[in-house]
Amino acid sequence: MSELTPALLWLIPVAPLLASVFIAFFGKALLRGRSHVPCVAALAISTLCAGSLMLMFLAAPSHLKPDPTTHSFHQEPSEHAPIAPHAPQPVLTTPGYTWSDTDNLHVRLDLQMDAMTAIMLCMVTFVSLLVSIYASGYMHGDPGYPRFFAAFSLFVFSMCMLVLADNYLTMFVFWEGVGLCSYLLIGFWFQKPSAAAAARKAFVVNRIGDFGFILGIFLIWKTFDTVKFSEVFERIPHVAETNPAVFTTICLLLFLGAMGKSAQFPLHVWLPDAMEGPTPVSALIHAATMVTAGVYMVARSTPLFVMSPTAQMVVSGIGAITALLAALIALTQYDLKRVLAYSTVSQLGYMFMALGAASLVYTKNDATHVDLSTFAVTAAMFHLLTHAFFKALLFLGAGSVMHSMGDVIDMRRFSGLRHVMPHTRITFLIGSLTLAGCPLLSGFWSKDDILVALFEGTKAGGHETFFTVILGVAVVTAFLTAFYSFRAYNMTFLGEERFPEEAHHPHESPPTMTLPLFVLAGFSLVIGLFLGPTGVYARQLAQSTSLPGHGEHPHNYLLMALSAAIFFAGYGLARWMYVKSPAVSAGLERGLKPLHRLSLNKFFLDELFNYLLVIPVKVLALLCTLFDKYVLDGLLDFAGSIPSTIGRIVRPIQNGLVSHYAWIMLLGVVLFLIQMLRALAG
Amino acid sequence: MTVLTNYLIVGSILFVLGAIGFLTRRNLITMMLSAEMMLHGVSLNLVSFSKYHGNMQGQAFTAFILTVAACEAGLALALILTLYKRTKSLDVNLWSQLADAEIDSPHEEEPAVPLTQPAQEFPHLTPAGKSPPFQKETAHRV
Amino acid sequence: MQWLTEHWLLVLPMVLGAVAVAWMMPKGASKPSWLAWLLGLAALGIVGGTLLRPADGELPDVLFHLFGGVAIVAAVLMITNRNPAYSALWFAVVTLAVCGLFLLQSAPFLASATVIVYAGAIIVTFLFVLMLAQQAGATNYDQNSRQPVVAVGTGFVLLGALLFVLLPSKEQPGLAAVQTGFVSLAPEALGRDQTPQNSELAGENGLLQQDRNPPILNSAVPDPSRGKPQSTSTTTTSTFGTMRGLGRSLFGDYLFAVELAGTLLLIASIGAIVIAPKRSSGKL
Repeated sequence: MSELTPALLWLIPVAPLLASVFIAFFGKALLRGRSHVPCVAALAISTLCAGSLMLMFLAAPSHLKPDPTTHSFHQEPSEHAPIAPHAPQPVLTTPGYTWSDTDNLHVRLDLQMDAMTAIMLCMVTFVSLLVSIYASGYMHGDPGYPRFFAAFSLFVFSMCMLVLADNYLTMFVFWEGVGLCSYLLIGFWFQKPSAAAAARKAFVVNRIGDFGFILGIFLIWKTFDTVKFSEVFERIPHVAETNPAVFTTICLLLFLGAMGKSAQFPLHVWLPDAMEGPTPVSALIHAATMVTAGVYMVARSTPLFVMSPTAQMVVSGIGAITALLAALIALTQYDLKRVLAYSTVSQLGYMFMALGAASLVYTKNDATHVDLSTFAVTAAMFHLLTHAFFKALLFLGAGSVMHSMGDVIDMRRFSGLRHVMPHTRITFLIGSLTLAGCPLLSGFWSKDDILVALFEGTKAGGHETFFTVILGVAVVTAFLTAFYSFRAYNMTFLGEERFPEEAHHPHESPPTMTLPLFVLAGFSLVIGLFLGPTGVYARQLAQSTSLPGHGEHPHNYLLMALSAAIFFAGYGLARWMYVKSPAVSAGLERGLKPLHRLSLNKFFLDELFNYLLVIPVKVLALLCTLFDKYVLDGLLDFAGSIPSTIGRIVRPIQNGLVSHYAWIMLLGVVLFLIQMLRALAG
Repeated sequence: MTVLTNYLIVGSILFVLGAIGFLTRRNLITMMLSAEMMLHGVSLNLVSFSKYHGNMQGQAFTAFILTVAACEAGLALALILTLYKRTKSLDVNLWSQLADAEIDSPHEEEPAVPLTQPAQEFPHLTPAGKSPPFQKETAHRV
Repeated sequence: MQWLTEHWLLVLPMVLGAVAVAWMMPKGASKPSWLAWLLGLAALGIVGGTLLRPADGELPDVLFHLFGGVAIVAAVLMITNRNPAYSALWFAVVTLAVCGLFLLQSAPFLASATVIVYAGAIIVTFLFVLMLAQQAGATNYDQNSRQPVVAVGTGFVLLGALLFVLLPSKEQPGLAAVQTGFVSLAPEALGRDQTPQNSELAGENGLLQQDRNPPILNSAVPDPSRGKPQSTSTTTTSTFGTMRGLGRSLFGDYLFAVELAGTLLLIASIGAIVIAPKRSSGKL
């Protein structure tokens, strides 16, 4: 390829980094209200680079030749690949810098780009660009304007590096990097105690997951003697012969990291609280990009996960529990952003459900083996992509509502905004339709793929019952999703026109905010149709190094019809309950009061955690404090008092009198002389 | 006939007495005198050995001791005068700034003892060229 | 304990002397008792009777007893006197007595030089300083000595240790071993040939026992055959004790040291001038 390729690749992360540094140093003094300019420019550059590389990938596979030079495409050595690839797997690597070159740990900061990375990169940079444009309007006039864009750019840099990493260690570093940026941005309004607490909660909960992740990396390093993706995957057959049990441990540890970052039950509690941050942050980090890092990581580690059906079942199970639980909670939330947050959690659970089906290999009637792994991962990654667009759209729409309503987000306090905010309304409607899975929109296709993958899973040997349950959960969740997304839409935009008193002049948002909405809405409408049924996405993704190649791509028209029916059922129920006869919903609320309270209070999970974890830890901390204060301090004080006691005894020697010193000298002479005489006298 | 040991005994006694004087006396001048007496003891020792061995080394060293003692005396007296100028006293106990800051001052260990000797009276002499006035008491005393 | 009883003749005078000197130390208003003097003289007498080698009654011996006794008594008086001026005068007496001993030990030049330097210069300077600094006479700090018992005790233990070495070593193998040990420790300090002397002492242990007076420490007169000259310019027997011999030694063997000593004197006098308070800086 061209000489420019490595430069383009480096430019993707480096441009936001430079923007971040520039804004951080000069934002306050020089840029002030124009702080968004470097950020938007850098993201535009990154988007262009990512897009052009993507086009290269789209064009490449057919005429890719093995190329020894590192600065160019080359093909993975296929004879050592764990699973024989069906298609060439183009990888673009650029050498970076040697981070660690010890005896048995060689870590280089190289960039590696394959199809999966390219898709992620395009999504991240493009959504970031749109959100940054949106944020330049949304955050206008905030005193921390430069700080916001510095952290924002830094986040994009970290996310790009996370995606571009070619080994687990680098990935972990930038995994932490995005966690840091998430912390900074959730706590952006750190004057608000709730925001500071939410930031802290997100950070602490993520630590649990990250702990598992780093342990997993250690175990990978110990098992494979390397942390580089390609080398790890190469050595899988060898390890599978000697130590097959280790895969389950590794995968569960890695999945623990993914659970923290992607807000899976029971570590999902931080994500709804993270809505304390500015809405663009919620849209970008806590809906579209960062929380999908866990999905990306599991998808990237597919060759490891396929070795462990147990871990896969855990992934699927956790995903199902999360999806159902979050959807149930989202039913009754009144905070628009929280509905969306639980929706995000639920959709992430969906993705994990699909990822969990990746190891299933079953034998068809005609005795051909069907390898589901590529298809399942493709479904998850496809849902990731479409979800990024429509969830960002929904969050930005919610932000637009907030902007107009004077930062009020409680849906009980406003309604009927369809006339005041027509642009926001139409885009939000598109987002809701997509999320709910309206046929032909992108959410429909990706969700359908997941359902198909799970349905195929029910045919796999040994786990039929399990995957039947999972499939049932997925269908129920799809229905709930359709219901709550239209509940939110109906409560906000339909009904009688009401405004909270904080909204001084309800108005449509400025063009900088509505323009990204329209762009995202457009992508939400068409991206699924273009990429899904046509097979473009699947073909493209199948080239990535982590996947065994282009496998089966089953279609199930029955499921498609079921999913469409579910959508209409959910849509109709929501419309009946919240538009036609609102009394029904109120009556239902009263009738099912315990269930309603359970859902409204998020199944009391926060309280449960408080009693089960926080309070015991606090008691333990108190015990430690007492131990430290009275036992350790006592010991140390005792040790410290020994010299001072000795000093107090010996101190009178130093009384400063010349005669006294002379006497001690004389005493020394006498003792020396006597001792010498005794020695000589034998 | 002289015996070496006898002289050594006298020398060591002088040395020890000088050391005792240096340790117990508080007057800076008396302390210096005691130190000089210790030097005497050592000098006697050297001279005796010189005689015993029949060469002049001991005597030569005694001459050096003499020189050093003279230097020492000169410097010490200058120092004593400087110290005296600060405290208006020759008491060595007043110079205890080397002491640890936290221990009690050594001055407190002895209560002030009243002087046993009353202030000495010196005769008042008549300036030259004047006839002394007649005094009965003087006459009586004489 | 057994050691103390074995050497009671050494321990007794030490204890007596220590008690006497401690008693005589200035302590408040009390005057020294005549009992203290009695004790001190008894101690001196015991030491003289037991430790001194037998006297032959000739004039030098008589003079030794005279000068030695005067020196010791004057030294005790010096360190116990409450008036520093009297102390200085008693020190002059000590100096004179020591000079007498110098004369007896064939050191006439040193005797005269010591009289000149000490009595003529140092003591006079001391008295000048006293006159400048302590015109009021007796003071509180002269009336009270500092921890006399401890200091005197330590001093007399030292004296006991020193005199123990000088004890007549008759029928005391341990003591002979000490004396031999001293010789073997520092044979050159005693001006002897190292190797043969060592073998002689080590091989013939009976030598010390055989001789009533151990040859090393108790011999009365210099033995030219033993005292081997260390350098060619060192005095021979003929010039020993004369000013000529001392001059040869000083300006021959020790010329460099003499020059150094002269420099030291110069520097010391400059230092004394610098240190001493200036008249301009205030009344002394």
